[in-house]
Amino acid sequence: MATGTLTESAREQKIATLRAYVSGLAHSINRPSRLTLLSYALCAPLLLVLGLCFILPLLYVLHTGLANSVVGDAWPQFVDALSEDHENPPGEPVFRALADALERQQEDEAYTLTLKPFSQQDPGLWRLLLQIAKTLPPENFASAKAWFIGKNPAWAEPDTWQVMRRIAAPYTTYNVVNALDGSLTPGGTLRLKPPDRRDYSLVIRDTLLMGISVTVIALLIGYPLAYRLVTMPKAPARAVLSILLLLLWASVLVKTYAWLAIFDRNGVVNGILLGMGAIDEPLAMRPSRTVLIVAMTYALLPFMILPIYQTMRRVSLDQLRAAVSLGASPARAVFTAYLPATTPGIAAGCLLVFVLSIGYYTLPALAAGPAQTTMSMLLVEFALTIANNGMAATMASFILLITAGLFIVYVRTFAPIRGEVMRRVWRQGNQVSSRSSSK
Amino acid sequence: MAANDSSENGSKCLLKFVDVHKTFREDVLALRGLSLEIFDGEFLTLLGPSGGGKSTALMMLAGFDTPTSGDILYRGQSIAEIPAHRRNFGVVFQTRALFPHLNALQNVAYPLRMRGVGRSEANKRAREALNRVRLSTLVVKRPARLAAGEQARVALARAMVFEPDVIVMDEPLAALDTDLAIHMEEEIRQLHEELGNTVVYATQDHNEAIALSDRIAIVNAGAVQQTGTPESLYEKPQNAYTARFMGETNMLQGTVTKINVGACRVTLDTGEEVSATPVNVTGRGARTRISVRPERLLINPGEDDELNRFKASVVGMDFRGDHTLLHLRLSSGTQLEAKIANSLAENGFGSDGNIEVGWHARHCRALDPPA
Repeated sequence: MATGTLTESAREQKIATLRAYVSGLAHSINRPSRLTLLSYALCAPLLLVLGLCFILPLLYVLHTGLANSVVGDAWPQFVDALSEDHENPPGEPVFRALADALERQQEDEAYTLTLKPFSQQDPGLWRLLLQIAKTLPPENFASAKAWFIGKNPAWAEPDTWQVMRRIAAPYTTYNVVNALDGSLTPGGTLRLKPPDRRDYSLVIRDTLLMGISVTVIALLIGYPLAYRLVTMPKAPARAVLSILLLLLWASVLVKTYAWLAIFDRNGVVNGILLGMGAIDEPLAMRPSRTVLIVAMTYALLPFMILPIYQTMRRVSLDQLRAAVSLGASPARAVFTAYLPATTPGIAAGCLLVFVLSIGYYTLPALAAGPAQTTMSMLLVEFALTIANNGMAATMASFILLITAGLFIVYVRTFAPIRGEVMRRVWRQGNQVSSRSSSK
Repeated sequence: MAANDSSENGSKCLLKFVDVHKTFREDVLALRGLSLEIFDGEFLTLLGPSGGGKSTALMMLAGFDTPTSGDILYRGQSIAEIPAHRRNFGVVFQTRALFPHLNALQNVAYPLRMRGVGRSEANKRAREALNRVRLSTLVVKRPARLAAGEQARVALARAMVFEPDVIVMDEPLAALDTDLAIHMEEEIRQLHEELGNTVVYATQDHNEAIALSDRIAIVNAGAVQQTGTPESLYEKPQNAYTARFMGETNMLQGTVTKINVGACRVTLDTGEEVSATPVNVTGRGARTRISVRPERLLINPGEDDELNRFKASVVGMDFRGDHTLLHLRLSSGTQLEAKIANSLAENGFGSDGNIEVGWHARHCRALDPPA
């Protein structure tokens, strides 16, 4: 194209410059210069802090949700013997190690603590162990295995030992299964509890549904608002933006209490409704799911508007005009030309709002109270009230994994980072060569 | 341009701006009485500086804006109130305004799809349009992956694929490199000749306007200064603004001392007596600016009674590629510039650089007085 009108020498020069640029680029990629080593060194504290304060805690949370060290810590010989024997039921040494362990623990205060995983995960096995522990030990028995089976034939069942192995393993899926209101058969297949006995899975479902509602409502309000911001003159737009930022910076507590005041029995909403004569008595409107969704949408709206606004600023309004001039009605132009061009902003806004809403604690705890439990409220309950770190960590992991999954999908769809960087390098190379050839 | 002389051109006149005013907010006047006729099948360029009102006029034509007063007629009917999507005008924007989420083919097929053409038929016609702008190999690329010139072609193909009644182009080449822009000029001109569409084009570049247009309208300060063919505007400007905007010129100030039909004498402020063609002067004693194009200056001319002749010295020479620009100074100090053939410049002008410069009265136009 352009090269067609360039003179031969200019074209040669252009190619030479480009080649020099590319080889320089390749060189700098292949052999890190002293400068890049230095820049890595300068980044080291940052990477260290990132690793220690961000990645390690996350890994620790994931680990805590899956870790299962109680039995292994208390009965190390038994767990070792069990891991060497792959038969179900196992051989004599395993039974002997279990007998020893139970005997030793009887003097110990931590006895019931060690048996807790059994009581949680398989009450049948727990009862078996208690029964054995009560009668242990006859001074000299020839075969511990025979003695166990003599006490209760259940000890000969393969199922008993499958469950035993699962509870004694260093890692367990128990918390995950439990958080999904399921249980495992001795064979390891997942069985969900009957619907009327489900509990945690309902909380997870409600939290996700609430996140989706908040996201959708925030999008429906935020998108037109962002559009208005882009099209209005600069001065008022800046004013509205600073109000939005103020809203963003205000403490969650302040915002929450403001909403509680608004929805209170003597609050603004009731006042207006009473004043209009729409109701005779103040409505008791809190705490409830509706109040929660309204307050949450309000608190998270800036996170929807700001990314959409940023994207819209980059999309020229000429595109709307172009669509209209090409025969699309104004409404159709928005849906076929403007909306698709702004999807990266929509996706970023939805991601932010959804992720923040499912992880929010203060607002749901205050605004929804006991009427609506969310995952983060459940998490706090596990961690602080009933001191079940495994379940707390599992809940945290769920939120973390949902977030990470959505983020990966977002990045892969809308921000292929490496491709963009390479394109920029390429464009710069072209500019360098065209600038030098035009001299 | 009178607003109501269309009776004889009635059959040819396609579009007409009638005394269009546009006020943005209180006091910002974008258009002040713009009147213009655009004929069926012609390539008309609005030439003028940025902020002169060309874009406002084009956007009004496309239907994105309405006149504050005045009217826009299409085949004699007012279209001022017809929304843009019902006008069937193709628009090429300076920003191109390609849809980033659609590839080149989908971009070009868009106007057809909006008109209810089926997918396969729309794609077929879009492909033909892309062939016409020589982009047939890049149909599946998204705009971000296309070079600037390729983007301009896609925008062009998109604006004409639906056979619009008028194609409106708002500085489509302004963002391109000079080489590429010149190349695209030829293609746009060629497409116009093949398809015979009416094109209304806007640019700030007089060379672009001259290369492309059947007619040019100089637009400045919200009104049309002069319309005419590129040649007539260049050679016969009616005012100093047009003379300057259409290309380089020597502009000298003076006072009219004698005036006849078709000729006048002007005494320059620096003292020289010059014969000129009266264009925009009122009578004896009137102040005027005379304009003579640098390529009309003759160096050491032969005998000719009608020439204005002066002794001058060469004070500088700029090699300009296809010609050489001479900087001359008359004995009074008046500076002039002359474009001469390189072959003439190569011989030099003697050791002292003293020459005689002359120009014909018919190439020397006495225009409106200085402000």
